[in-house]
Amino acid sequence: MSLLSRLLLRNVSAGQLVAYAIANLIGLTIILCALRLYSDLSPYLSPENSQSELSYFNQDYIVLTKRLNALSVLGGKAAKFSPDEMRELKAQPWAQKVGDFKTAEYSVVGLVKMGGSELSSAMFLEAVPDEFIDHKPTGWEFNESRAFTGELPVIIPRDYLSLYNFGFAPSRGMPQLSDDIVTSIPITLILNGNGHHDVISARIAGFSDKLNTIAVPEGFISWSNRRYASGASGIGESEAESQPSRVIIATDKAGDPAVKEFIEAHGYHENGEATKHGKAAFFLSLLTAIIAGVGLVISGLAVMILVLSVFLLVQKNAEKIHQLMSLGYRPRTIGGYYFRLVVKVNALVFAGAVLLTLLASSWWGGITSSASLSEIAPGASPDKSIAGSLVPTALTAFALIALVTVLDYAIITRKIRGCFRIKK
Amino acid sequence: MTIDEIKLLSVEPEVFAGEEYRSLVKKSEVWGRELTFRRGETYLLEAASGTGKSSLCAYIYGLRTDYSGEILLGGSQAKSLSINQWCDIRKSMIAYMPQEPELFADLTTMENIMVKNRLTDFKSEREIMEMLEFMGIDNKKTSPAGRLSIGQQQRVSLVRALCQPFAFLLADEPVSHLDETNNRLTAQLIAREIKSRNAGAIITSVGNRLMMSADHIIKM
Repeated sequence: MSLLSRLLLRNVSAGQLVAYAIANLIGLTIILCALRLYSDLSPYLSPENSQSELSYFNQDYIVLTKRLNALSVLGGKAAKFSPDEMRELKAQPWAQKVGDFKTAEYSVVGLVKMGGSELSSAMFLEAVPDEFIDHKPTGWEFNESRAFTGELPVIIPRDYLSLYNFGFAPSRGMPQLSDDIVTSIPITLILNGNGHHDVISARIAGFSDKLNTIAVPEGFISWSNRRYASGASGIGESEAESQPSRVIIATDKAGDPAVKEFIEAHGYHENGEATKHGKAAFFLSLLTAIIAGVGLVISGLAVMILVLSVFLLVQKNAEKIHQLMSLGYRPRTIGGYYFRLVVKVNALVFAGAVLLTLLASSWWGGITSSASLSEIAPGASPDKSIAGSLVPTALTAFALIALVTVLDYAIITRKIRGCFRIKK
Repeated sequence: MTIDEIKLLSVEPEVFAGEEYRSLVKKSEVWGRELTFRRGETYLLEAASGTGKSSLCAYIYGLRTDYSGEILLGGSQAKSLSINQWCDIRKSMIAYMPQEPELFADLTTMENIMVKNRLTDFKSEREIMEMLEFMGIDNKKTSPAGRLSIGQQQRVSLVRALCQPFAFLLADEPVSHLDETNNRLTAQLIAREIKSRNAGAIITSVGNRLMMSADHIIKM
């Protein structure tokens, strides 16, 4: 031990250092656990993984319609969004992208051949702008030249399959179908209108929990409306076309109360299912922020304990520190002895907090797997490897402890400089 | 930065502003005057107690700033120097031997000296031992400073102050607790050390004056 450390560290109180270390350890561990819990649980709630098979959407989004009431029904006035209303929607801060649903304005009949029997049904087709579909199923880019030779990809609501599997099929003694089988069934669409009558083949490319419609590529709707609609069905006027009855809005704040307020204030109806996950994610991040906030407060208190300890220590050694500066030792040199001590304690706190967080993480990892969260969202696969959990936690912990250390340094230096002149 | 002279311009302790100190300030050859201490020359400041000689040392060494007027160290305003600049001046330009020895009581004689010498790396251990021998305290080398007599502590404090390069030596009553023999030894050591550095010396005394010939004798 050098002369100076013998002089300066003589009155260090082990009790105060331990109190600082424990408080800091608790604070840092709470912050790390909050962040870790968030990153462990958010895959179960993020929109990508809420859809079982196909992840078309990176972003959260909501679908709005206008509420139908007796007046609008009786008046024969379609519940459509006017250009003014569209502009207002686009101006909302939470609306990142706004798009409208385009409807096929002609008659469509779907035909499925299954085990000798034939099912047919009148149906409809819709499209949302391609930019909303981040992961497009194969063949989604529509090509006019292959309109009659290619297979048209269709995305249907998952509910349709459920209705068939759990409602229709058992009552009629028909086989239940898995997703794989359904996507391999060839479908025939008969398109009728404006003097044209064509048969095209289609297949189900995927299912969506959010898009409550039978969705086809945007390019197909534009092409087919030109071919089959053009006034023949009577509703193909350009004005009606430009006024959508449903709009899709990409947002990063699906659970934000401001969104809900806006929707209610305008009497719109929101597709409930679509934002359930968004709301859960919103509350998860809110909860995380609260827990992390508590951790920050505790860490802040820990720093205050250290400030007090340093204050008392420097106070006790003020005379010696003053004499050392009077011999020509710079405050930085003197502070270095205290700072090195603090760095050692902080290094222990850092290691302890990372270790505790990993232990806690593996503990709730056990709970989430026993709660079968993976069945809710089979696509969710949080990184379970040791390196995967260690690196981000350690990096965050390092950043936080570095911040605390810099703060400690500033406080120590300041206190020591305060001893420079004799206070009389 | 080098310090070839220390200049006092109308320096007066703030406490001397009152009417009762007027006659003291009027008689003084230091307070309220223009006074220059030059490198290579020795100055003996003689004072009655309460005339502010320790205050003057503290002003020049940057320990206190409760004065009016200006002190210039080699052209720099003393009041405008930063803490780090002061530390550098104390390490290599001005040596200070305070009136109270101000040793670390827990450390031994040698350790007390080494606290300074490790910072400056100026004297070898042999040179330090020689100085201790010269001052007759080499047998106290390993004694805790707190157990030394005031006179012994004063001599340790002098040896410690000499363990650095300096342009000026500032000694505040260096022989106040020493007998005539030790007074002479102190004078010889100081004379030798300032000569080897071509340094100036500002030495104060109240009564027991250092037995050294001085270039200037100033009454405070």
